[in-house]
Formats: sequence, structure tokens, C-alpha cells
Amino acid sequence: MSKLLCFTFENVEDLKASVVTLRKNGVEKIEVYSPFPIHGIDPLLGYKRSGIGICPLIGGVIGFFSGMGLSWWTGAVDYRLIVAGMPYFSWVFTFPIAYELTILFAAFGTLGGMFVMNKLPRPHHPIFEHSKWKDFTNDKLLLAVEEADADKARNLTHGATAVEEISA
Amino acid sequence: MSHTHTENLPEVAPAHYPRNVIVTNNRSHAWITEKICGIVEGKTPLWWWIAFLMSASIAAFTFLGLGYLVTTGIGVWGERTPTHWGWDIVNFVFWIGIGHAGTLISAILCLLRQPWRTSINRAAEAMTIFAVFCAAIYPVFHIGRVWFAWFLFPLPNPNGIWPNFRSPLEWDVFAVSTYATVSILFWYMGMIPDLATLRDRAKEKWRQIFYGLLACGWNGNAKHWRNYEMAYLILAGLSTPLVLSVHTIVSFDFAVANLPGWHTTIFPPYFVAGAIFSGFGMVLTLMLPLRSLFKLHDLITQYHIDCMCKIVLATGSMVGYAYAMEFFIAWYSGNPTEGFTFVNRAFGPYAWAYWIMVSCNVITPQLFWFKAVRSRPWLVWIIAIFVNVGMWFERFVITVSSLANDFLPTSWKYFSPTVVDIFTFFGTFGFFMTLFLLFIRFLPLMAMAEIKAAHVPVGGDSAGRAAHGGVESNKNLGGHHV
Repeated sequence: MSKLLCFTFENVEDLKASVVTLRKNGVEKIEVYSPFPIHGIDPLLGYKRSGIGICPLIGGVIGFFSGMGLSWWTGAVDYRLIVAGMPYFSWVFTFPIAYELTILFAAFGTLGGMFVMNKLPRPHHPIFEHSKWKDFTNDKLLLAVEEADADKARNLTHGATAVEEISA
Repeated sequence: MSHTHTENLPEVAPAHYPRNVIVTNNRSHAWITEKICGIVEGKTPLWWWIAFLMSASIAAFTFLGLGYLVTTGIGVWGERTPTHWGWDIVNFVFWIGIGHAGTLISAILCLLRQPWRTSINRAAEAMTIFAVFCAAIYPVFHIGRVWFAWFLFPLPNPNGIWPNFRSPLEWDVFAVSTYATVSILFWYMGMIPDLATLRDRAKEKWRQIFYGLLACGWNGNAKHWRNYEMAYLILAGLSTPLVLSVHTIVSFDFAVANLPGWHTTIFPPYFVAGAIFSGFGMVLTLMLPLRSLFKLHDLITQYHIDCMCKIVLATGSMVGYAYAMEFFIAWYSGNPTEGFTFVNRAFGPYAWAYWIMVSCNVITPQLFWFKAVRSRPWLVWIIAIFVNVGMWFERFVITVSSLANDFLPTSWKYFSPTVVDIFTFFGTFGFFMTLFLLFIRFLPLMAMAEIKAAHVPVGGDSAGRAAHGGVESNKNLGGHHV
């Protein structure tokens, strides 16, 4: 059973500085948990820009063509009905429908994409075993490294106010 | 030469502009958590029970009114030839419009990077959703046989008939249902980190299960935040064209018809500006009492109230401009029927409603030019009530004055609502408040995670010191800029 070494931080500067030092010294597997988004930490951790944008794009394209297709198939194919001499199908009067469905499907794509990419819902996570976990959705910040890097991490982090070992 | 200058100065320190403080008294992040979660976790205050019972009783008027309508027939509403769209469309547009401020605050102000939105966006989004529920009642029941409401949606049925996509009313079905759905998604996604905070603080079993299920195992990993923040930004980007399209399509309900006073191209922008105006009126109406009741003065500061007042002033002036422009175009078109409609609005049988509208929407908000007015919450609240009243009358004037005096003078008839109309509308305020009170009691009233990200307590040992000092420390470490 592997272990995780968890450092508690009180402020973002110390956390960021520790991340930079650890990575300079070859510690690659670092997890950071925080109650709010820490702006600017992604490049320090070596994370690239989120690729979530593809999900709303796919959703939006499906939505647009569903809207157009729905109006075309129901009005011009399945049941033709003359209303005020208007054409059975035109992209003009269908546009509001396609527009709304584009947004609807893209929004579902975004939320769904966020869940899938973050592997949520996940009822339990080893990090919840931390004895002070409650603080990390309140005002404290957490930096976790794996057992193999524990010694390095103990020497190289600075500003941590508490250290705890949990099993992962 | 400027070129040499830049060479001599490889790094120019950017000027430091003091930012408006969005959380006063230098409150720590732990204080913010305690304050917001305390509202949900503390003992139910007495005023909440009183307000809840009152709201629920008022809501009963809507349900009695609707029950009477369903069992008796659509004739119990005051719609008579030629006014076949009476209070139902007025109330529908009124409530839909109220919703727009929520999306404006959460989406458009997010894209414009206005950090003051963070302490009001959650409540405003909740307001949006509940207002859309109230709005949806009217078109659904106005179809008469409410059990056929599903005909509005393209669902296969034994008759093989599909909705008529050539009608703006069908566009409305898609616009409003999309708006409700996307607003709920946006609201929920914004709440996930705060629900995780409530989950971790929960002591009772039911709270652990309730918030645990809603939070979906959120743990605040930096990888999660990275996807989450991008997703939030995308949803804001999607909601912006959505909110503009919804009231545009609502205005098409009128503008596509060939009726004097309705058939105008100014309607979409005019309706959107009016919607934002009325929505901010409602946000102020709700947030100012909440601020006092929960002592939220450090989170909803004078700066927040100032910003909202200025938006009310700006959109109120736009609405005033639209009223003037309608008159100008009516005259400039040279169309006598169009010209008559507008003269009739201001001086005809509905002149009383027209002038209530003008005084509430155009004149009263102009008081917000004065700081002395903006800095008195009770005065701001009264003006916000005027805005709500004025915007209801705007929809009444547009709908009823055009219909009651249309092309054929022989069919003209003065419109009066029935008691059922009045009860049903009165009750929607109770319905709206009931939902809002439940929201206050069970869900986080403010976006804690967003406030913490935007607010940096100075000095103290809170985690948040970060965001400012971050740039400095990154530079020293040869890291990346924030």
C-alpha cells in the first residue's frame, strides 16, 4: 500500500515556491488541493491549458444540425403542412431553433466534459482520509507527494505548517 | 527616440492602480466560509419561518387561480376580443425579464472580469431560475387545455403532427426551455466547490448525504480547477449569446405580428435592455434586505450597491431612449395607424398606465446620478421597487394598448383583468419567494470559492495572500507570471 505525504500551507506564495523548488529537484508527481482556484499555478505544475473546449464544440455542432434537421424532417419530409404560404423548410425560420439547440447541447457538453475530464463523480478519494481534510475546502492549501519523494520533499518545501502521512 | 528608450528600459513596472475592495474589513477566508455556511447550518431564524409561511400562503393564490382556470375554462381570465393576450403575456414577459439580470451578472460580468459579481452572482442565478419557473406558468396555462402542453415540444404523437417551426411562439418554447436548462447547469456547476465545503463541514447524516451527492466528490485538485475554470468560462461565453437571444425571441412574439406598436425593429435591443433593467431592480429588491438580515455588509459593500445602481441607471436611460425613439419612428414612418397608436398610448384610455411606466422607468432611476441616493440602501430599495412596478407596466402598455385599439374602431374594447388574473399574478410572488427562501436555507448563498479567489486578505496568515504577491514571488523564482 503506497503512502502520500501531505504538506499543509497557509498561503499561496509558500505553496508556489515549494512547487517550483520541488520540480527543479526532480519531484514530478505533485498534487495540489485548494479551496479556490490558484491562478498561475498550472504552468508551475507543468499543466497545459485545459482541453475541455472540444466538448462544447462537439455538442454545439450536434445541436445546430439537430435543430436544422428537426425542422426539415418534421416540416418538409414527415408531415407537410401549408401555413400562410410559407416554405416547408427554410434555414431562416429554423435559425432560432438551431441557435438555441447549439447553446443547449454545448452547455451539456461543457458540464459533461468537466465531469468526465475530472473523473467525477467519485464518491471517495484517498485524500479525504487526511485528518484535517475539512480545512482544505475552507482556507488551507495542501501539497501531496508520493512516498518515494518523501525525503526530498521534507527538505525542500518551505512554509508548510503541518505534515501528515496518509495511505493511498 | 522611443525605440532607444525601450532598449534602455528593458522592464517597465506597470502603474499600480488601487482596486476597489470587494470584501471590507480585511476578512479572512475562514471568516467567509463561516459566514456563508453559517447561514445554511445555523438554526432556522424566526423571520425565515414567518416569511416562508407568508410566501407559501401567497403562492396558494396562484394554484387556486390555476385550479379554477383548468376546471372552468380559459374564459375566467379577462381576455375578450380584441385583447386576446392580456395579463398572461404581460406576466410572462415580466418574469422572464427579471431572470435576465442573473445571467448578466454571472456570464457577461464574468467575461468582462468584474470581480464584484462574485458576492451577488449565486443569488442572482437562483433568482433567474425561479423567475423562469414563474414565467413558464402563463404560456403553459394559456393554451387552455394544459394537459396538451406537451404538444409544444416535438414529441411523436398519434396524430403525426409536429410543432410549427415557422411561428415565433415555437421559437419561444425552445428559447425559454434552453434558458431554464442552461441557467440550472451554470448555477449548479458554480456551486460544486461550495457544496464540497458544506459536505466537509456537515455534522448531520442527512447533510453529509445531501451535500455529498451534490458535490460529486469534488476535491479541489489543481487539475480539477484547471478544467473547471475553463468550463466555467465557456459556460459564461455560451450564456451571453443565450441571454441576449432569449429576450430577442420573446420580443419576436410581438415584433413578427403585423400590429401597430408591435411591428418594429427596435424591439429586440429595447426588450433586452428592459430585461436587464428590471432584473437588476429585482436583485436590489432581494439583496438589500438579505444584507441586513444576515449582516453581510462586508461582502455586499457600498461599492457593490454603487455598481448595481449604475447599471440600473444606464439600462433605465436606454429604455427611456427606446420610448422616445418609438415615438420618433411612429411619426417619421408617416403611417397614420402607427402614429395613432403612440398618441393613443400616451393620451388615450391607457394614459394612466403609460405615465406610471415613464415615471417609474425613466424618471426615478435618474436619481442614481447622485451619490447621496446610491449610498442610502433604503432609498435604493424604494427606487428598485419603482423599477419593478414600472417594468410590469411597460409590458402592460405594449401588450394591451396595441391590442385594445387596433385597426377596426368598431371592435375596440377597454381591457380589464378579472379577479382570477389578479390572484394568479399575486400568487406568483409568493411562489417565487418560497423557492428563494428554500434556496437561502439549503444552498450556499454566495460563491465562496470565487470570493476567495478574488479577495486577498492583507497581512493575516490566511491562504489567500497569494494572488497579489504571486507575481512577485514567481518572478524571484524565475517561474511564470500569473
